[in-house]
Amino acid sequence: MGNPDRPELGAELTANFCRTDPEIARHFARVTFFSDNRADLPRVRTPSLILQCAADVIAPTSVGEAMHDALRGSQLVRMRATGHCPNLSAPEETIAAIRAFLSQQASA
Amino acid sequence: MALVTDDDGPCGDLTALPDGTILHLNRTLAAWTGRDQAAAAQGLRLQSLLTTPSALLFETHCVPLLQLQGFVNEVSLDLVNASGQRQPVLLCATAKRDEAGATALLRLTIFNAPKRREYERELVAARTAAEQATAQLRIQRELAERKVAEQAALLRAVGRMAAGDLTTPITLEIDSSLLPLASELERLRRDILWQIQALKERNDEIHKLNRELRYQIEQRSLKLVESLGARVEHRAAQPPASRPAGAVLAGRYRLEHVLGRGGMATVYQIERISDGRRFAAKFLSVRPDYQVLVRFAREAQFLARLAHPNLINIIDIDVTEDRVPYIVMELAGGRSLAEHAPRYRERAFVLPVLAQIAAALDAVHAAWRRAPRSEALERAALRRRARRGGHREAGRLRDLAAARARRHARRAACDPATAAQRPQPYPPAPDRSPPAASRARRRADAGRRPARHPELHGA
Ligand SMILES: Nc1ncnc2c1ncn2[C@@H]1O[C@H](COP(=O)(O)OP(=O)(O)OP(=O)(O)O)[C@@H](O)[C@H]1O
Ligand SMILES: [Mg+2]
Repeated sequence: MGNPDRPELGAELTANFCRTDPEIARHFARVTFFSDNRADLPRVRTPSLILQCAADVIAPTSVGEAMHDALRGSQLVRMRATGHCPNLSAPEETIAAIRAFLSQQASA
Repeated sequence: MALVTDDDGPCGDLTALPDGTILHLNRTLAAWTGRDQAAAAQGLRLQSLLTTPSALLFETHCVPLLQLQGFVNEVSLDLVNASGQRQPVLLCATAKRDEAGATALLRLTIFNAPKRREYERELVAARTAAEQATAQLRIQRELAERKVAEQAALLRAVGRMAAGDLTTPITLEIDSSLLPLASELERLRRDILWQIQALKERNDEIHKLNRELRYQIEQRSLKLVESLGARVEHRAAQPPASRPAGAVLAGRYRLEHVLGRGGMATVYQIERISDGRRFAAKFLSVRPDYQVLVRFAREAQFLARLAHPNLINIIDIDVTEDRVPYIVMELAGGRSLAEHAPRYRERAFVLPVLAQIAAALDAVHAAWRRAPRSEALERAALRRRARRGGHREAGRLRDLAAARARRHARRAACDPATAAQRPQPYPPAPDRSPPAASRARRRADAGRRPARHPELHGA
């Protein structure tokens, strides 16, 4: 947390994350699980970085590889982090991968 | 007795690395999931013990929460065994951290919860049903409110129509249940509008025809006096005192009976043969010298110019086979004003009568002022002047007209009875005495001879 002198801010943020509004969750699930944008991928021109976790039940390695094939000029980074939320489970590794990508883009 | 351990207790128990790799699972959980306890040693992950949706929920909900707050409680999940059978469970889990605060171990306790799941399903079903019922109620209330609003709108529209506004269209939403009614009203509105339009046009048409007819009657009365006047001097005969009932005039009217007799004319009720309508026909009853004829024609000509609800309408003017001129006019219904004499002092009776008489007189005077100096009468006067060698007669003719108007105003003011009759644009034949004497005599007459009071019509 950016404000170590105010621990209540961290607690509030944690509480926010932990709360699951069923309406929002349902909406989120509908959008996430019922949309298929694979056909759009070849049209993407934005330089992109794919972070592929190990042992991700939601997006296994085959998914990352397919994305990499479809997104022109994309980069695929296989992470040691497992699961689907490396930003939470392995923040250092995630940040390092993003930094490396961005500085490479900046110098290109 | 064997030592009781938690290894085969009533709950599933599992220890795993932060990424879910199983370090240990108790015998209960192994039995539930149909796995070997040794599976733990083969690098199996706890996510593989869950159905896909449960694994998703665990990854996206439980893992971040364990990371953030170090525990999750009562998470509803489904275990799946090797043969694909599912088992509803509740999960409680804690994260064990190392000295640096990083997650080192996950400890999971799993409760068998099929009954609870069933109960939850029922609760959800009941809540869904309640929500649907509420939604249904809301929809029905909205429909009812809409219907009330539409009814109000229709009532307002009907009110507008009743108040005479026929130009504002009556509209409702296309999907309204009252639409048939609204369309019916709208059709009615257009229909009435159309009918009014048609009536107006027809009315205009009738007005034009009437004007034309009046003009023709006027012209005809002039021609009549022209043609009769020339002959009358040598072979004028006394008209018959009475005419037989049933006699037919010009093939168009059948004579019925006498309505009344005046100073120079007798009035009969007649029937128009073409449509059975009743009229009054006024026949000249005195020997027609030139002046009498001019007066008679002048009366017709003048009546033709007048169209007023309180005045009798002229229909026709013609000459009988025995060369007696007659005027056909509306039949005045109702009773003679004379028959109302006992009520002359009743304000409520007299005032409206006076108002009608005044209106009629006003119309007469207006027409009189408007009247163009008739060329034909002018010519007739000139002829007479030439014959008699003086200017007096022509002057008198016009003066008489003016004198008549003045006298009628006075008469109307003092005697409501007389004025209801359509005034004649000439003085009554016997009026040859000076004005003062004549006025005195008329007052005396009014008392003595109520029979001379004319019809009252429209009162
Ligand atoms: N249109 C009519 N409908 C019904 N009755 C009528 C009509 N016109 C005249 N009468 C009746 O005929 C009578 C005579 O008519 P009117 O007074 O017009 O004749 P007149 O010869 O002009 O008489 P006067 O010269 O005395 O005025 C009236 O008093 C009335 O009773
Ligand atoms: Mg008269």
